[in-house]
Amino acid sequence: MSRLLSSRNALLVLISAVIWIAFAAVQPSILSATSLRSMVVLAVEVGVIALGQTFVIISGGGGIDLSVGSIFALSSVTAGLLMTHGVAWPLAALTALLAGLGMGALNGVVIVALRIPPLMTTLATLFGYSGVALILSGGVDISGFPKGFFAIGQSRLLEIPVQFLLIYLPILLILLFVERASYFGRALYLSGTNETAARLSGIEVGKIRFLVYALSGLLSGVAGIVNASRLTVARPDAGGSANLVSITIAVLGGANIFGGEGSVVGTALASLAIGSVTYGLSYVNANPVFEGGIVGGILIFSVLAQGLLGRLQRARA
Amino acid sequence: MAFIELRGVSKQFGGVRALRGVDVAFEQGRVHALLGENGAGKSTLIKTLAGAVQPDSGEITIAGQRAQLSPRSSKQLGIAVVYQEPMIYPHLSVLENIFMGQELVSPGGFLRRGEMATRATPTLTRLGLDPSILEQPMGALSIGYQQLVLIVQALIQGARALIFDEPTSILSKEETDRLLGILRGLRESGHAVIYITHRIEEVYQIADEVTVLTDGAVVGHFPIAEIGSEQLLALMSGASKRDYQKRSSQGRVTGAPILAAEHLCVPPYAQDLSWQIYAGELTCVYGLVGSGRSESFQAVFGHLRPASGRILLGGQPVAPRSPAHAIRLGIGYLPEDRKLQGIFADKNLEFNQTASVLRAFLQWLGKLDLRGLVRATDQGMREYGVKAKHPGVQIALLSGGNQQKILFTRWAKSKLKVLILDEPTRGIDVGTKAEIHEFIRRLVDSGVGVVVITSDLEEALQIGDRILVMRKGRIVEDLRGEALNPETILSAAIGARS
Repeated sequence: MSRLLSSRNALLVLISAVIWIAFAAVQPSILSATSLRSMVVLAVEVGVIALGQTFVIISGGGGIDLSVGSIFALSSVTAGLLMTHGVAWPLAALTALLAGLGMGALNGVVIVALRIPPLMTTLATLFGYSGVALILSGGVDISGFPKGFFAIGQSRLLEIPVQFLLIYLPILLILLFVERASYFGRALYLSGTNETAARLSGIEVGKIRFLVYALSGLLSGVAGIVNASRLTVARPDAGGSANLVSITIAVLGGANIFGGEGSVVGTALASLAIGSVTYGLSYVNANPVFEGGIVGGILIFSVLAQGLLGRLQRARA
Repeated sequence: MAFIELRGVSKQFGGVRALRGVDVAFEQGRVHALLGENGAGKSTLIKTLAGAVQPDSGEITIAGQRAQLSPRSSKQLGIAVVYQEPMIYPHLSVLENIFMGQELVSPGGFLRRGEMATRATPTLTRLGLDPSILEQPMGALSIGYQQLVLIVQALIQGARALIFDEPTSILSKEETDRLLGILRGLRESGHAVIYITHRIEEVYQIADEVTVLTDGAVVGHFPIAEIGSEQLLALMSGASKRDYQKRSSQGRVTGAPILAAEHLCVPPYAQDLSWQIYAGELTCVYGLVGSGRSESFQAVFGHLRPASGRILLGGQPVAPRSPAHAIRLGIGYLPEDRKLQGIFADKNLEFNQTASVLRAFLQWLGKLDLRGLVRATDQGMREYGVKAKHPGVQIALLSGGNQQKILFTRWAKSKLKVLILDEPTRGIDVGTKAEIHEFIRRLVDSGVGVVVITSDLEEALQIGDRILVMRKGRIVEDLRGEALNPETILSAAIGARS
């Protein structure tokens, strides 16, 4: 299994490289540190959401979180409103994070305690949370934030965007630890692989699932704050594309939609590939309508390639 | 000439011989009962006739023609099976269920419902069903009526031989009488009726002849008038009559029970159960499928919720809320369905073996001692002789016996007061079975209270110091030492009065 996953990771790196080479052939100036930075800034926000989505999908039981984009929007609106009403930006950001956590926890409670399928629950909260965001903001963008707040999404450290260095990377490393070395990670994979067997082995599947939805909400909140800081505006209608893109990234990164399989490293590499396509297309001024098709093509290609790799490996075994 | 004839049919699954050189003939216009306890090979025989299982050797002739049966050809040759749990499409109408896959269609591709109804009506009336039933959804009917609809379906599709797999086990008294009446009607109309059951009294009500299967082999075939019920019972339990080293457990059992149930009710599976389990004694729980064995112990393990009654662990009342809680209390449960409830198929041996003891490897901040886990797995594999290269191998690649050893180790390595093993040797080869029996014995000797739930009478007699017999959700016998006798146990389990 680990060999299969690592070969998928290698494939994702290869895909990213091919994407960059292809764009460089059209527009050689794309190969620059500035481009790389811009791409990273673009990829980080949905990338953080995709990490949470990955755990949700691994947890099984039809695990999926369609409400991430709405949590993203409502969190950033929360931060924006607090700041425009004179709350200090760190406190506003913290409150927005807690709001994200709370929205995720609500998803988790409904799914685990009321046993409503994740698809239904998060479809409902997709509309619910974004409705609240529209009401709170009166449907208009919120701006006029204190300068300090922009540090989150607009500054660099050692020439690297801080949202990558100080937010995305630490989160990735913590989740990697959780995934590979913690009780929670082990219980997560077991719950997703065979729910009944996990329960009969004494694993509290409900608790695990509740926690992954709460985490997904928290990370969506993180992304919402970074986004508001980068664009200097909190948009109640933002994040709509994050729902499906985060799922696409997680699946491209190796998450099995039936649960029990996936990894945050795979998801991070998939974020790189998708981010590269998105950035490259805008760089060469291509019609953005191609983006969806290319992303879909990569997804299909990677699934086919993985099937082929798996069969080759089984044949060798 | 017999309609269906089997000569020397054998079938092996892995290391298990399900059928051994079975010779049997089924004639038209006769009701032929197949009698045998759990695991005697009845199901495999039916599946062979239905074309779902291909025999390893032997030959089958249908109406004088040698046949290679597939599910399709079996149907075409006029063999129909009415399974224990009817296979239906609950949301479709009775009419649609009857003609499923054989719909009458007009040239334009439209269903000809009227014509289908006309075709079905005479058969319905013949079985005493009102034609208005055709428009009802299948799921709205009771199981008894669903069975009748399936008989109608078989007859309309031209079945000449109908196989009934323990059809009355889920029916009420009235439904049973009605069904037996219908079977007599089928006999009159010249159908071959094959009736599988473990209820001896029904054999005398309905059958013309009876074949007894034990351990996959035919041990007797008689016209019904020539065999008494005591003889049938003796034949069914025949394989269990070999010599067993009778272990006298009385000396070993000391003190208070380690686990006890008082008037435990787990509706609808089990009622008013009271028993005591002692450490140092191997208790087997024997009963037919559906007797509530697994469910009553799943309640002890916190997987099901008892409606009333008490569970005492070491004399203290406990109420396990979940398996996790039960494990913390010191109760373990190895589930019966290895694939669905036991293994994590695409995960490695380490994941599989340590699933229930992970908390023992916790370090700081929820971190697991990863090296410790691998070491423990490696040690467990050696101790219990698991044939696999290393703990990183995917469990699905192992044989059933080795998978079961991993699952056994999962529990044997937990610190438990009581371990419940549900069918610990089902479907595994003879060699591994003996090894697992040896491991279980070691566990018992180490002072763990061990319960083995089994539907294999031979196994219960072979390893049990004591046998609890369950029937229809109740304890009907509690036997130790000299009283362990296959005929007593079997007749208690199937409810025969002898």
